[in-house]
Amino acid sequence: MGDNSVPRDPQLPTHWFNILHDRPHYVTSAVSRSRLAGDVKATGQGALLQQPLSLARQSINTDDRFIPIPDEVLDLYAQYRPTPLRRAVRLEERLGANCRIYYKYEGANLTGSHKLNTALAQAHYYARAGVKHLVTGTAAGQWGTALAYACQLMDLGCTVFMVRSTLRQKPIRGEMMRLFGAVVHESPSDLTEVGRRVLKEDPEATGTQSVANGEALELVEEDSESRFAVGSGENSVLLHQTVIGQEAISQLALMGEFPDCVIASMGAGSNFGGIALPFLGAAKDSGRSIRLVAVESAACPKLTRGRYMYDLSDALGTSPITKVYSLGSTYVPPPVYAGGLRHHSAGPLASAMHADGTLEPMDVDQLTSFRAGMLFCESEGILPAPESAHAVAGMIDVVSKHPRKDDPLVVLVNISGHGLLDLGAYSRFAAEEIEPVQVDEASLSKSLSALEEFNQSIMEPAATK
Amino acid sequence: MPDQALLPLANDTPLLESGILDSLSLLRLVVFLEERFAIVMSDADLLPENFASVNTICAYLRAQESGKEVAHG
Repeated sequence: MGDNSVPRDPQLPTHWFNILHDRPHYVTSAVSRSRLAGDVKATGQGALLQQPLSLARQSINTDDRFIPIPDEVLDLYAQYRPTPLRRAVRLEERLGANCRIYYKYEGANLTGSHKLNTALAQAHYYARAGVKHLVTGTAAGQWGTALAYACQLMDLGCTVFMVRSTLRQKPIRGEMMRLFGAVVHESPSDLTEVGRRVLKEDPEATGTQSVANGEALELVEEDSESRFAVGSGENSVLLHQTVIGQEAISQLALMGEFPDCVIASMGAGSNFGGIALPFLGAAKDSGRSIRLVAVESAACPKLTRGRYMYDLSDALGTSPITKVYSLGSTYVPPPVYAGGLRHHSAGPLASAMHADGTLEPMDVDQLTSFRAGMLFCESEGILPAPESAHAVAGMIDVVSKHPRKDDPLVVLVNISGHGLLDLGAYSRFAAEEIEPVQVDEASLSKSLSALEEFNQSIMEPAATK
Repeated sequence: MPDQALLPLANDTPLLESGILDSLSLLRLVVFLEERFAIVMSDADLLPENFASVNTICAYLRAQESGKEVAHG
């Protein structure tokens, strides 16, 4: 550490925890894009690695259980980490359940969420590899904000395609990204072929993460100095988030605790993986058992109602074809305020955890989540992001079902971000204008059929193409 | 990778344009080549001209072995 470095707290992890060492079968399963019929659109940068090798290798590393965090990233982590872990005593009293509730709070940094943990790491690796500009898609805006800030710190340009429905719900997110020097576009936009195609079909399209990512990928194809960065789903992203769980293990140990159950919301898996994966390793080391609960939006229930199949992750169709729990890349979830939970599929690692029974999925509708978020705010003095409010709702469900005759249940919930930029949504909740949005059954049925047809198609012998 | 059903592959089959190599399979190929040939590849080596076909990959490896200049970005 240099003389000008921020002093590092002893509880700040110096390494990321790599679950692929313990469970190498979690390495992403994929099929060749050559199985796609017709024009595979694999030319240009789409066929090449978007990530620098240093970063990409992390996604398939099964050799190292711990991967060192670069000094530059550690110094930046030290500005806001370790993040607080507290016992929610007042919430316990309000619930009257037989439990001890702890929460880890990731909202106390400039950008307001856990996304900064991977944004700083990714910007570091891209900058060191000579990349000049990062382009991304963002749903709720937490990832876009974090990446914009990280790019500013690393002297990188940044362009963000933000899902239209969420950018209109909370324009201040876009303003934050612009404050950090990013160029922000509403997605779908007329800047790309993908966006124009969507707008032609439906000029009022609300947008999806899949379309925003597709627009970002299309933009980088036109500029050799730009690369696409992704805020969740990738194994390397989950790896970077493991600072959350590692800190929580140390912090709980100081109180003589180890949780029976760890709970987080599920978009593609980064905040869930970040808090859950280190506990999976610690449980293995100590011979304990642990429940890992992933709470998804009832409007986008990929784990509880999706299929474990091969799918694309972006609307441009240039991504690798990976095995994930998916509702189909054409599924358009109804707009909900938890924009970060609207991706049509879970990431490959979280999907593998569900497939082998390591993860326990639960879906929560947004009205229930806002009730839980407000209860948490009234009890603990923190307004959770709508995504995190889903985790709180899931936690309340878990503790309320715990028998009184048993020992108290010890639960840990990840509050992945604050909801101070979601006050409009909370105001609507207070005015009783929030509806319990469920899945769009017609859209889901159509999309799942398309997903099944896609899988049949790519499994046909190549000679028939 | 479950996709081991062998596809017709000639030495000059275009690997990138056909989609046989995408970002994920390219990464796995890099790791395989590094282990098999005891080399360390860098971002500068990941150019389309080095991975266009089996022929160009062989040419890249031969150049690495003999210390010749290979295509760099």
